[in-house]
Amino acid sequence: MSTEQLIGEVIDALNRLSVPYMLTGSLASNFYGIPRATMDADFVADFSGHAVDALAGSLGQGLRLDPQASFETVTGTTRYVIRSPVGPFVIELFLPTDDPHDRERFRRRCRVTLLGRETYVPTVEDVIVTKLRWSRQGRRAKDLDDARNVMAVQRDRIDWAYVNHWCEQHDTLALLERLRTEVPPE
Amino acid sequence: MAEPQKVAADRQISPDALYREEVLRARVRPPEKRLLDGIRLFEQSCRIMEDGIRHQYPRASPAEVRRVLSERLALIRRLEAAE
Repeated sequence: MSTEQLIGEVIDALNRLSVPYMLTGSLASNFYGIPRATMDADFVADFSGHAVDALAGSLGQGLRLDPQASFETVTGTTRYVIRSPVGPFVIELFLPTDDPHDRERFRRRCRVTLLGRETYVPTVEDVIVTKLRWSRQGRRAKDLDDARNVMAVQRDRIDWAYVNHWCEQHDTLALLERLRTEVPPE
Repeated sequence: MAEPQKVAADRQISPDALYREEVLRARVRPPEKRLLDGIRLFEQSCRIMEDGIRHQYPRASPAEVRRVLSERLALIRRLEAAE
């Protein structure tokens, strides 16, 4: 099973079960920015009213969902992990939190077609806001690179007032301004 | 792969100009292809890492190569989490 098939299988299972979700992390920043290698696919999935067991039972081709949830230190959220029997690529399913921005980015998620399937990704603004927040005030270089690359590629399509609002809330406004100066001119 | 600064020096192109080229290439690439590029880059990286493991352990079986690769990826994950 290829990595693309693995991701497609999980998207199919979430769609079949009508679980609200979105694809996040580096795959979402690749969607809007400059691609970089990524060793996992992150989803935020709202299992309210759905048993995680139902997802485990819905996965085919030997995919294994670890029944034990764990805590992810970077994002401060609970996650489940799906492993493939053949490759090192993993799928991580994060549960939504009550954080105001997490709720808002989930509400604003966009429907797109990926691998021939209907799927959901955060808006470009929410990818930037989240990457800056996860960068731990700039100490995680790859998150900063992702945020800057998304800004550089999307430029005129970004609602800066929205980004500024949340960066102010998260105390990442200075970081945002610094990265904006690194975006190449037209 | 040559370092960007080395390439830039050889071609007399600044790192800023190289980055701009990268941005311009990404702008014309469809979003779905950009997303899938990240997955393919990872798969290529794994193949190169496997070649390195086989070079280091010429007698390793395919299962042992996969095990060492998994250990190295787990180490990368731990290092990233500790950043």
